[in-house]
Amino acid sequence: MLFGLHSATLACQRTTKAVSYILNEEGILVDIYIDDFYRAETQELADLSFDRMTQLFLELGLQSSPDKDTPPTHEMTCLGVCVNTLNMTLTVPDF
Amino acid sequence: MRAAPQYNFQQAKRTLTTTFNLERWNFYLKDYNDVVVTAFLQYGWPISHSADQLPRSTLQNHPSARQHPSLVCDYIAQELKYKAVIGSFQCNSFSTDCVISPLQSVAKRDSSVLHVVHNLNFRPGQSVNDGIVRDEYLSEPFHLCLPGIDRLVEFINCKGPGCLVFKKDLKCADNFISIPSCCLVYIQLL
Repeated sequence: MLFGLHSATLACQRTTKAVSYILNEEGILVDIYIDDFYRAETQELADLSFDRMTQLFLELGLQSSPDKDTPPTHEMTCLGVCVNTLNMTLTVPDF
Repeated sequence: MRAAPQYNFQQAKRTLTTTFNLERWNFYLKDYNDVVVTAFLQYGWPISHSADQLPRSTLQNHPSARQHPSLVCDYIAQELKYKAVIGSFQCNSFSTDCVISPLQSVAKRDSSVLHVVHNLNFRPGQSVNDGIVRDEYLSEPFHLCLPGIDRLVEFINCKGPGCLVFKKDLKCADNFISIPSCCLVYIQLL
């Protein structure tokens, strides 16, 4: 389905929301913006959660895009906002 | 006036070719409140076009696409590779009229690299998208709610300072949502 269709975003979000439901049921609280899954986790559990997401995508037959992944880190840009969990700040990157 | 369509997920129920492991989706989502998602994955997501009249075709691509024929060829070749489009056809292969919308090329923000876009908003008032009602899907109310950064902030506050954040992207998200064959007539390109 072309993303230019008004109904495409709805179809994609409903599909990926179902995937986030599966993860949430397993105690891995994620949120999803169309095709972008994101989460925060303690240092002890972060790798485990990240790997479970990878494994679930494979299991469901979803193709991920590893080159666009952000593995567990203290700083990442998400939805256009730079998040830093060490100094607990949100900043808007320069354009 | 067109008759209300009967979609694949309602009647014929022909399973589409898909890379999804539908058995696993059904297993995990058996108690999910929007479980119809699995039927749409199996039988196709209707585009939910509800206007009485077919949109008007445009039999020429926009100048921005015509000026870059090799870009358009590459785009179509790539879409064929991903099985996101079928064809090419020398004439209308459908049993009903079909709708052709123009291609255009646009640069993404902060980039000079051009991308081809299928302009389903053209012509205004008579386009494919004009026949797709916002906040409903297949005549039922459905408000699409996209999250903001607030939810991630909530997660971070819950886990505390120094926690780790991460994200995963899906590849070609627009290509994994298949549509049933009855909707193909709406999204033809030249």
